[in-house]
Amino acid sequence: MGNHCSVCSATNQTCVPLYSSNTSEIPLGREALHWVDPHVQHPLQLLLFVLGIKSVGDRSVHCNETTTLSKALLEADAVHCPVRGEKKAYCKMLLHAAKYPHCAVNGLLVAEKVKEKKKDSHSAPILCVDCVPLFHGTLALAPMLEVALTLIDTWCKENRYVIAGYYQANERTKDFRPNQVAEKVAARISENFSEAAIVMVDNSRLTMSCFEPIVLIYDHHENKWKSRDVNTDCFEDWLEAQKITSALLEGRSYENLIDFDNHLDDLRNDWTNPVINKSVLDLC
Amino acid sequence: MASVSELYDVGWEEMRDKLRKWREDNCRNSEQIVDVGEELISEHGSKLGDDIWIIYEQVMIAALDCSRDDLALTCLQELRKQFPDSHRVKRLSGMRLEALERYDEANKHYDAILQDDPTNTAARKRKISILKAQGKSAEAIRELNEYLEHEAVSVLYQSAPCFPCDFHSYGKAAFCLEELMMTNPHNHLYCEQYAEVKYTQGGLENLELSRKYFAQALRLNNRNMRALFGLYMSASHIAASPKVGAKVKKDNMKYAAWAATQINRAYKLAGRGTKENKCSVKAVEEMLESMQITMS
Repeated sequence: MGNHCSVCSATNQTCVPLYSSNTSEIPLGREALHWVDPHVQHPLQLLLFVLGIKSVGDRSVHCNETTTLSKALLEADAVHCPVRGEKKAYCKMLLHAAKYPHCAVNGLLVAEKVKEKKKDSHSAPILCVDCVPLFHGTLALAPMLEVALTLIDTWCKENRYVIAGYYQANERTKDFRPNQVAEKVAARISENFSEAAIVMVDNSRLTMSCFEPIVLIYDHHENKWKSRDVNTDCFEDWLEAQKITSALLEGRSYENLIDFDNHLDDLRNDWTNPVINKSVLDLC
Repeated sequence: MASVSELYDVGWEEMRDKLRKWREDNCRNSEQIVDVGEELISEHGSKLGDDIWIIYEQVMIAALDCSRDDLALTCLQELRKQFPDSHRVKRLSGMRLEALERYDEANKHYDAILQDDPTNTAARKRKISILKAQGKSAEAIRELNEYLEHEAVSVLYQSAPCFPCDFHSYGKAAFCLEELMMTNPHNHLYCEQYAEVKYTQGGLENLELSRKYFAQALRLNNRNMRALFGLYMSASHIAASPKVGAKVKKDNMKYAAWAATQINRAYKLAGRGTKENKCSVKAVEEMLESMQITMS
């Protein structure tokens, strides 16, 4: 029995169509994408396409389920994006850069610890759920970096996180290449987490509205750090991330961002940034 | 949008005093300076007397930082009217050109100043900053080295430590900090920074030197957390080194243990009452414990 494609009217026996559901959660998967794939290339295009479908008999998707749909689409596409960012991580990274526009800043990205590594390592994307801003100004001095790495590692263990990456925004606007410091720290992180990534902030594209992701992601291949294409799929929910980051930048929330340097100046300053975390949640 | 005086319920004198404090502490909180300064100048300019000129300068530089060329130009024009032949104002014109990335014109301004007055430090610093902004790091370092050889100006040394760390000439950074420590023996920050540079350079001798300077920084300011952590780290690494004798090992373990107690105490003090900080305290305890294990 073939499945009927509403776009080209062809009968395709290997694909699974989108199917309707009365529940709020649609168990869509990669198979669903595959059905429409020949007709649309980009997940967002697919979204529009799906919204355009009023009904294909049993195979309609109700418009109010599009959030779940977009999540599924992003997940399906995730095979191209092994490390992805969540809004809290992206937000705090940009706030850190905005707080110290005249300095270089850096920090660590943390991900949730995955219990078992499945045989097919492409199955689940590693989601960077949070970031810890480290230093501003001089990034290249060893002792405090060691202290920070050890302390944050301990904190991660308690919260079932793992340090999964490192971010840096250079001092000069037009300079977005990872330097020796970035490579050294990332190498250290890679000892515990093989897929560690370096995220560099492209300062020249930092604006209040953040319409597009302004980071470059570098992965370690054959002893070199190579940048990969970044698009909105590298984020769990780009539209939310963009909206929240923009709102926080306009509201000058970066004045309240705490980095590890601030913590060393006054131990009461909390580098987990509970205040900013709460603001992010409030804006969701 | 509410004015600064309304938002914070302050009068113009407090705004003026705040600007002075930021000037003295050399803070680079440009957004705040622009907010406060702009209001002060436009609403209370007549009351400021001669203070207004230095405030114009401060606000102008902050405005450049915030891309407020309109404000910067206004301030600059007032200063030019008042001090038509001043080198100091000419430097400000140069800085504005730098902000607009018109580096060649800016350099012409600075060269003109240096022709008139070859000892003008400010102009030289700006020229080096331009090289740095353009990414010409090797040239910037060369100019800086040349200048440092001829002039022992501590003001110039203060900006120097940032350069070498960028370009990994930690030796030069250490040299600059040594000069700074000589002229400012009570400054615990220079001691601590010097110790950090030595630690980064690595090697047993440098580690021992770094431990000594961390200890010195602590003597000057016993609340310097970086110095405390640094003392702990350097002592631990020395004790763990296979090249040291039994006595040195024992001494350093004692120092490290002392530092660990102090660190724990500092965290407990800071964490009194807050739930989140209790997590930090635990994390520090665990961190210190885990390092003890690797040490032995």
